[in-house]
Amino acid sequence: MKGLLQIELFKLFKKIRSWLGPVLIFTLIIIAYPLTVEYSTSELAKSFYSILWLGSLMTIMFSTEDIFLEDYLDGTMDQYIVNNISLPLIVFIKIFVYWLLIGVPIGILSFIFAIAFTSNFESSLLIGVISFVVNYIYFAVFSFGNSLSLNKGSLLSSLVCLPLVLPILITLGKFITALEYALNFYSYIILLLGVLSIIITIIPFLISFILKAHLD
Amino acid sequence: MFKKFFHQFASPKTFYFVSQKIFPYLFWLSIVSLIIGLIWGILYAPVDKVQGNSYRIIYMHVPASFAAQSLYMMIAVASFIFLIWKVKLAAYVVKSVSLIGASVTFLALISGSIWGVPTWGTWWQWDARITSTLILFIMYLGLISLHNSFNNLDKADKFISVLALVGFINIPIIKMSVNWWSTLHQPASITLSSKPSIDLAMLYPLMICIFSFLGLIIAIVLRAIQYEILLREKNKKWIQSI
Amino acid sequence: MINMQFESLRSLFYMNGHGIYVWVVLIIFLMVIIGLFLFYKIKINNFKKENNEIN
Repeated sequence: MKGLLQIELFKLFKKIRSWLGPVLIFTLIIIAYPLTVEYSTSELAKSFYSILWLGSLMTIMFSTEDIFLEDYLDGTMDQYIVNNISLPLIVFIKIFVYWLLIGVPIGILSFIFAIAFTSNFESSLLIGVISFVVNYIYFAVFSFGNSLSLNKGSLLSSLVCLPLVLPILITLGKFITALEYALNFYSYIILLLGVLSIIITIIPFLISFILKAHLD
Repeated sequence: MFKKFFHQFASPKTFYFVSQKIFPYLFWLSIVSLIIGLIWGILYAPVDKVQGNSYRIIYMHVPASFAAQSLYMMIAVASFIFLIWKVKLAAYVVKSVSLIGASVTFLALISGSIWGVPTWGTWWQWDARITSTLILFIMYLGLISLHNSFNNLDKADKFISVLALVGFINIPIIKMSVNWWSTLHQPASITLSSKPSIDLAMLYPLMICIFSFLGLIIAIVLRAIQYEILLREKNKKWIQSI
Repeated sequence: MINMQFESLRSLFYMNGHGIYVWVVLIIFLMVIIGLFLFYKIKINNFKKENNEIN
């Protein structure tokens, strides 16, 4: 497993555009947001969270476009199956590597930008942690969509997967409201962690089933 | 004995001929009871104290919403059967019901939107239930577009079945959304465990409309599955002899 | 005896200002049902016609 992780990490790290590009786009969205409106600092903070969640959603949606495509086209996927290497493990490692190189930087940037916009360290730390969790969920869901529409482009996968992430966005909105008014926000955190635990276990098996069907 | 009774319907040919026999009775019974329910509700049910006569949209909106969610349950069950037992008729069901489900969900959204104008003063409100119904509509569109994007029908059937099962989590979210979040949408008037909050004079025609509309939609679903069977099995001898 | 809620055709049509909403929804409701029914009826009839021509 360590060897597979190193290979996938190296493969993605080599393609700088694939992981640095989305992080830079996310940064651009957050930096450009206050430039497009003439709000005072307190009013900027109100819409900041929406821009943050939507920015990370869109960034991750487009960054996962070719997560499986290269391996599918050059026959690596066939080799994994022929050599009896566990496909769910490969899928899990790929999603984890994408999350490590793209999701984690976006999470750290979310924390930094949250401090800049809200000047509240504790809530910004919470935002950063939630961002790590939610980014993994996004990666898993959009990887699922991209596996379904392999070779058909990302538009179809976004149509297919967007309804699945919208409830996550609703939960995030309610979480922010609870955080702002000092209400009990732990239930929303536990809900997101519950979703994450289901997704970590189920998505690799679903995606490997779909990839095997593509290769048949 | 029950197993044998159900297993015979896994054959597209058996299903086609049995549904041919059932269709006229189901269709006409549903139409007649729907007309009775609508006339009773629109002309004879008492006026609502708060909403006035605009509440009569309930006799069309609630059956459509109920049918939209029921059809998705049907798709989820059929997907499960197809993926586990590889019954190809189940795949035909998933494909056929997607379009009908999308139409009925669209009807629920439009009727709810129009109802919102006299009741809430707004065409649209981003509350949980309405948003969840919109999500359901997009799910149906996703199923239809995913199936149409593949030339290989076997692959397409497999993939939309997987997608349908994954999207199945949306159904409990719609059901629980009114309880989880405070919304503009009224809470459920009819629940399994307590007395309905709606007056009986309004409830009876509503129940008639709900069940008759569901019956009508099932009749149309039977027609849609028959068409799918004709398309997919067109090279079989029994189709050519129809 | 169950009484109709509207005394005249005019009051049935207007429903104290809410009639337009109810009747528009009813028309859309019927259009969707009839549309779905006719869609599959026409498709099946066309298929049977083509099938007969081939055979």
